Amino acid sequence: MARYHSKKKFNLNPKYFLIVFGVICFVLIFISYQYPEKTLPLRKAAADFVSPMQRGVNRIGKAINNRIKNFSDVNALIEENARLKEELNQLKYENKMIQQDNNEMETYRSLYQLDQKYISYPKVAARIISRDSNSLYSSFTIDKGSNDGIKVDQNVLAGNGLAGIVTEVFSDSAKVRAIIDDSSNLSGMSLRSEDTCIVSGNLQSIRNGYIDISMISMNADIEENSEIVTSHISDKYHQGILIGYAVDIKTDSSNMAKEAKLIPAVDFEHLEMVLIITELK
Amino acid sequence: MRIIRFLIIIVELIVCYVVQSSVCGHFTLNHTMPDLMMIIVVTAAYLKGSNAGILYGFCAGMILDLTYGTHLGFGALLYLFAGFLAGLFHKFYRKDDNITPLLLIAVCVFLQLNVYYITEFVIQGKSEYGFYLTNIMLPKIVYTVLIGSVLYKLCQLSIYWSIRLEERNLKHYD
Repeated sequence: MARYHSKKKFNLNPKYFLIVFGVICFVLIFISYQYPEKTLPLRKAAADFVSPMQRGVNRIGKAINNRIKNFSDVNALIEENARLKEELNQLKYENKMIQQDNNEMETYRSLYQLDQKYISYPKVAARIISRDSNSLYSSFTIDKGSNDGIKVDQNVLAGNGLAGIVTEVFSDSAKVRAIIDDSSNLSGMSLRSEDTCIVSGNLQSIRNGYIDISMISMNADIEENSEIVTSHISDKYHQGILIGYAVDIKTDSSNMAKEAKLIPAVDFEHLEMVLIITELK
Repeated sequence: MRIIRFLIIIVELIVCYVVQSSVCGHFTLNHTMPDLMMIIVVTAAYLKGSNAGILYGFCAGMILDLTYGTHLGFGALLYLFAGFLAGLFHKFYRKDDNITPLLLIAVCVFLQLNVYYITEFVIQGKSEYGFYLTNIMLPKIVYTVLIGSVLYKLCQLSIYWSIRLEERNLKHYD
């Protein structure tokens, strides 16, 4: 049967076929390595062609996933609901207390004339429509592009922390590199003491739920669980965005600096919606 | 006729890519996704021979490179070799042999991930091979083979139907 199918259609020897296509590949690699901007229109066309489909299919995938979860989780949800209701009552009470504290703090703040730490940047919300299927990279595609004012190097937030940075923009979609990606390196600092450090993504560490911090100076005043935010040095990231919390601080192998683990503030496992700051630094 | 066949390959692979990148992200096994493209390439190569495998591999790799790759052509080269390799086993093809194609898929994914490991991590000097093997390669291979066992049977069936249709048409013209 199978022999029937391949009869006399391509009588070319596979070896020559392999060589021809291999040479094409090498030429393409050379071109994209030497002149990366030349391949950009091709990639743009591909992204514009695929992203509408991904948007639709992603919705289907999520729906199926939710349906499966619904079946398996009903009992767990009922239990959780009861527990959450209890917790809610407690939190309501606590919230009132905190509100009072907050009012008090506002007055203190105005007294001290503190600068506002988190300046409110203009943001755009976007949905993640596809992830890099090669599991070595941590990049994903969002459903907003240059038509919505997205530009390369804009910061991407999720929840209350930094998720990544826009690396490529197409007309209706954009590629984002997450901070947990192996090739991601950014400058961070301790919120309290303003000691700077380097936060770098690591494929191996993120499996255990953290990424790496290095180059903390020996006399830096960073404690366990201190908040690490983006620093003033970085030329791409806005200052003061929460990255995560530093734990397990120790002296590194060179004995010249300290290193630590950083637990990201963003839950990268269950990322669905992100916010993009539409202002470049 | 040949162009139509080529277009069918492209459409097949694009559908595969869209499903892989959008749906598989919701169903991961130890953070890894199955490599549907590799399944299609190896299956096509095993069922139709090296030439088809090379063509499938090249198209699949190009689609991946155009959307997520860093260098255009690198992924294409890897998938192309996988297609060629699997195509060499075309002469041992038997209808009831389900083990060989699954083994081929496993071997091809393993080789491809090793090349990625060498080009991405050995140069950076970051990840240990043991960790990479147990945490990324093995789950990915197991997941891909699991999905592959279903997809392979489907592909086989579709090819049988298309051949039967062709035969009927030929008889008709005779």
